[in-house]
This record gives sequence, structure tokens and C-alpha cells, in this order.
Amino acid sequence: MSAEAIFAQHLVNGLLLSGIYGLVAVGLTLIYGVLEIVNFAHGEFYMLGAYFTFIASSWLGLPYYISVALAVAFSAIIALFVERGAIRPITGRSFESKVLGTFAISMILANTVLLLFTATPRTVRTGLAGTIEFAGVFFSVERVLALLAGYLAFFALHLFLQRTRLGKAIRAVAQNREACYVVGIDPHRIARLTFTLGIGLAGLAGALIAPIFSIEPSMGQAVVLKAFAIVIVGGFGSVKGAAVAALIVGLGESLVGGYISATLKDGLAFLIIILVLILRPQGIFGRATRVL
Amino acid sequence: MLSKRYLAITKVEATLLILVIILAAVAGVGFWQAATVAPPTTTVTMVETKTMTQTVTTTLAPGEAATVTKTITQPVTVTVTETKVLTTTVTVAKPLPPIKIGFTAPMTGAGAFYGQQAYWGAQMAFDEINAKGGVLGRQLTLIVEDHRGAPAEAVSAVEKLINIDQVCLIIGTFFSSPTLAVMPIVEKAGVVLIDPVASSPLIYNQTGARGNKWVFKPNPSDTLMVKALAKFIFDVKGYRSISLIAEDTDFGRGVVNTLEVEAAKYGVKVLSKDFVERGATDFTAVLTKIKGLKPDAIGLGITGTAQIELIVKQSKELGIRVPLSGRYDMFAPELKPFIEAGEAEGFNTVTPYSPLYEGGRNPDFVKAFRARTGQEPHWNAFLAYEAAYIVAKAIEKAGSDDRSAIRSAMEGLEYESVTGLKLKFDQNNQMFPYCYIIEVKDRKLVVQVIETAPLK
Repeated sequence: MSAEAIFAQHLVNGLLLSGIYGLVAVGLTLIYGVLEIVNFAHGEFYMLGAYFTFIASSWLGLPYYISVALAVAFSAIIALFVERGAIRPITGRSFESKVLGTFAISMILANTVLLLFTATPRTVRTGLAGTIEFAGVFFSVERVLALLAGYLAFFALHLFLQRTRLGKAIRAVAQNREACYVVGIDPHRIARLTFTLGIGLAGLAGALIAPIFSIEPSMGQAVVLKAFAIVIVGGFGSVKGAAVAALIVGLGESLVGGYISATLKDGLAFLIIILVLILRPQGIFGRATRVL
Repeated sequence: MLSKRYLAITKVEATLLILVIILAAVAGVGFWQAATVAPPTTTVTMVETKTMTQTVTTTLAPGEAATVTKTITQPVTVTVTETKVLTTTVTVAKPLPPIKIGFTAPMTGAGAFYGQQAYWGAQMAFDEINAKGGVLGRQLTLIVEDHRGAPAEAVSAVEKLINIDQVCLIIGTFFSSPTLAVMPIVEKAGVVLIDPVASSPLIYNQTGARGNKWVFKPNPSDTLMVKALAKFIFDVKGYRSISLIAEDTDFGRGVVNTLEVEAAKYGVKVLSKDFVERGATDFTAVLTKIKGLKPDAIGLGITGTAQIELIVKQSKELGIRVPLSGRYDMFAPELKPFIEAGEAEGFNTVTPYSPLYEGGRNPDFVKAFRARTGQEPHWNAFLAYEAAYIVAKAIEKAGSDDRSAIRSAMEGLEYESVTGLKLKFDQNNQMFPYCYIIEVKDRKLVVQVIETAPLK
């Protein structure tokens, strides 16, 4: 297999990772932008999305597409409960309360799943066998699906945020909360919606990745760290930044894993965090504001 | 600050909350009842009262007086009826306390399949021994602790077994890194640890006369097994180049080190060497790189049944047609569909046991295990079974469940394996049973070679 084909293969593998990490990261950045909460539990919703897909396809025997849709729906429902019970009380409070609050949610969710399902990895079988070969590059059907669905969701999100009233309202609240009261946007309602949207995206990412890698209760923790790297690189609150940074991190991870060392590929995200914090702490597209 | 109205609980929310709490309580009670232990066994003291009527016939001679004030003038037969009451107290003696044997394995987590098999193997052996009366008239019981494959959890598990459960010895941990972590602990506490599966050479470099007298290894090390495999793949199969993927644990690194040394001996080129984290799921980058290098085989050092399934699946997706070799679990149930579909032809590995072996009492063991669990015995099950019998023999020889006595008894212990091979712990507390080289041929697993050790 030629060197160009190998490189192309790494790129394609990286694009898949970018899509998945991007979905998780964009939810994280939206939630920060609108609610000003750093959601440390975000990885757990990604994990829940994967487990809902597992339950729907393996226990209930539903086809994969329906399982994904159900997984997203259930993630959104869980998001409503979490928002009402745990997020709403900590909104507007001190930074420590917010951090501890979301961290607590993360612990509760991860350990509940661990208790119910044990740490044994589970596989989601979709019945979609087959590999597509194109110009020496191989894609499995499941990966192609995940790639397409991921980028489609991203595109749909972009359209939603740019073209619809609700999307604009979300951006408005992220820009200036107080001003929203003046123009008649209810920030609380928008906050609820944004949280549900962010969690739904994470759940979708988990549902798409579930058949490709096996799932286990701690899978969210590794991904959320990469999502944080992406959000830091792209700038907290910036969706465009999250998109660009996701490409950097995802492709970078695939290329490092392929050309340098598999052990280092997970460390790349951390390396990038350190570099960005030294060189440009607000990220590529972030607002250079002082918190303290 | 948020307004109180925003945070207040509405009527709808209150109703939903109460419903959820009630549901959770009902579910909780339901689960708790289902998990309640069976009633304890009671000691029976039986008191039996038997009433016996004894008829005593005495013939009185003439002139002999009975206790009746009557003078007998001629022989009279007097029938005296005596009623004797016999009380028999039958006390069913309280059975001698059971011998507690600690057992720690990865019961959940990536290695759950192995822990489960090991537990089945050990429990089957103990059930057989207990049915024959146990050891020293006492029943053997297993106290199980899950370490999930993590060294830190193995440490907690072992400490609990030693200090709280007061076990007389421990069978475990079945994984190399956890065993290395607990070896100093069992030495300090003076408790025998017998690990019939972990295979990292690092363990073997420290056992018996080499340092730790409390650790016993009845199975072959990776050094021996990989040497045997290397002879097969480099000499017989003739691989000239190999790429290595291993997990970043003591086991994985040990396999890679030995394979590198052996490859150098046979003049085989190692094209790449990659370590992944234990339990990793994404092998795409590494496999893509290997695809470009085009080795004759991929040498693995991987535990985890999900991991080997993902490697095979992702190799297939990338269109890689290179056989897998090295140390991984070819008996994993997840691999069966691939083997049967013909997608694993030429894959080979070295294992410390094969259910296909027909010598000794192995076919009977396999049949009994299959009948009991519905599954084929994995090497974890077989080796745990053998370890359990070794443990029973040691306790018998020691004459008690005293921890040091067991250790002394286990040193140099002789044991005849189910395979028929006669084994004995050498001065390094090691035994040398067979190693099996297994290959996939025509969609089936075939035992190609059986090696005995020690190999030079």
C-alpha cells in the first residue's frame, strides 16, 4: 500500500475522530457560552448515549438507526432532569459550586452505570457489515455512517444557530445575558434549551461511536478531556473555534498515532492544551476577557 | 442571583419527583429481597427416646424364694416383667469449620471473561473435593474478591482477604501487573499466593529461591511460552518480518521483549513496536501504519476479549490480510464468528492449555466442565482447577490451615496434572506443564505443537 494511501487512511480515520470529538466539544462550548458552566459531566452523557444505543439495539433488538434516535431522545430527557435538579440551582453561583456540581453529576452517572452494567466492555452490533474501498483507502460502513451523521449534525447545528430565531437567541444570550432581558429573550428558557441541545449532541456522538469501539462506563472520561482540549484551543464559547480545533485534535491524534507512537496519541490533546495556554490562553477564536 | 420563583418546585415537578422516589424505593426493596441470602444452615441435635420392654423369665428352684412372700413347694415359673427405659441421645456433631481460601480475579472489567472462567474452574475443583469429604475433614470455601484488572484494586482485595476474611492462602490474581503489586504484601503478611495464570517474566524472576518464598507459579512463564511460539513461527512457518502491538502493562512489555530477543536470534526483522493502553479500543492508527509496513505477521501481547475482537474487526475493516500471532486469547468467544467465517486463517498463538488436548484425563475434565457451565474450559478455568487441587494437596500435607505450614508443604510439592504430566515445584516455586501452539486451519482451531519445559 502506497505511502499516499496510508496517509489518506490516517486522514480519514482522523476525520471520524474529529467529527465525534467535535460533537462533544461543541456541546461543551455552547453550555459554557450560555450558562457559564464548565460541564465536567459532559463525557458521561456521551457515555449514556452509547449505553442507550446498546440497550436499544442489544436488549430490545431494534435496528441501529432507531437505536441512535432513541439514544438521543433519552439523552435529552435525562438532560431535562439533570438541568432541573442539578444545573439550575448552581447557575449564577460561585465558580466552585458550578465545578463541584457538574463533577458530582459526573461521578453519580459514571458510577450508576458501573453498578448497573459492571465494568465489562459491551459491544453494540449493528448488523451493518462490509467495508468500502476507495482509492486504496478503506472505510467500514459503520465508520462512514458515523462520519456522515456527525458532520451532518454539525452542519445542521450551524444552520440552526445562524438562521433560526432560536439559534440567534442562543447566540444572543452567549454574547450578553443582561441585554437579552431588554430585547425580550428569556435567558433561563434559552439556558434550558442549550443544555438539552449540548447533551443531545454528546449523546449522539456516543451513539454513533458505540458500534465502532466497545463501550464501558469510563469511556466518557477519556473523551471529555479531549473535548476540553478542543474547547480550550478553539476558545470557550466559540462554536466555530470548536469546529476548527476538533479538526486539529482529531487529525493530530490519528497522525501521531500512526506515524509517531500509539502511546503518545492520547497525550497529544494534553500537549496541545499546555501549548495553547502558554501561547494564546483564550484560544484561537476566544474572547480575551479577564475572569478575575 | 436567581429569583426564588425560578428555583421553586412547581406542582408538576413535585408530583413527578414523588412518583420517581416511590418507584425507586419499590425497585430498591425488590432488588434487596431478591438478593437476600438463603437461610443459614442449622446444627441438629437429636434426642431419641426408646422405650424397651424386656421380659425376664426366671425359673425358681423348689425352695427358692422370690420377692413374693410365698413358699413355693414345687417348681413355678414366674414371669417378671421389667420395663426398662432407654434414653439415647444422638447429637449430630457440629461440622468442623470450613477452610477459607481467598480468590481474587478480574470478575468485571475488560478481563471479566477470564475471572469468570477461573472462578468456575476453582469452584468445580473444590466442589469435587468437598463431595469426597473435603480436606482434613473440613470443607473448602472460596472467598471471592474482584480486582477488575487494576493493580491498586488487587492490593485492596488481597489486604481484605488477608486481614478481614483471615484466609489461609490466596489463589490469584490471574493478571501480571496486579500480581506484581501484591507480591510484597503477601510476603510481608506471610500468606501463600498461588497464581496459576499470570505469566510476566518479572514475576518469575522473584519467586522462590529468587526472593519471594510465598508466591507459587504452577504455569509456564511468557519467556518459555513465547520461546516455544518463536520456534514455531520463525522456524516452521518461516515468518521473516513481524510488527508488534502490545498493551502497556508488565505482561505486554514482557511479551514484546521476549519476541524481540527471539526474532533477533532467528534473524527476523521487527518492523514496528507499538504499545497501547490496557483496555484501548482504537487500534486504527496503529493498524493503518502496520498495513503500510506489510509484515509477515502481527505479534500481539494483549489481554481482554473485547480488545482482540476490536483488533480483528478493525484489521478486517482496513483490509489487512496479515495473520495474528503472539499472546492473545484465541479462545475468546468473540473470535468464534471470525474463525468460522474463515477470516482468521493462519492465526496462531501459544497457550498454557488447550481443551482439544486428548491425553490424560483432559477429555473427562472438558466434558464435566461443559456439562457444568455450558461453555468450553478456557486456560483460566483449567489452571485454576489445577491450582485448587494443588492447594488441597498442600493443606493435606501441612495437616492444618496454618499459613506457614501451608507454605512449607507447598515447597517442592509434587502433583500429577489432569494432562497426565507429573509436575513438581522447583527451587524457584515454578512448575513446568505443557505449552500448546494453536493455529487456525480450515476454520478450526488445531493444536500444532506441544512443548514441555524448561526450554533452553
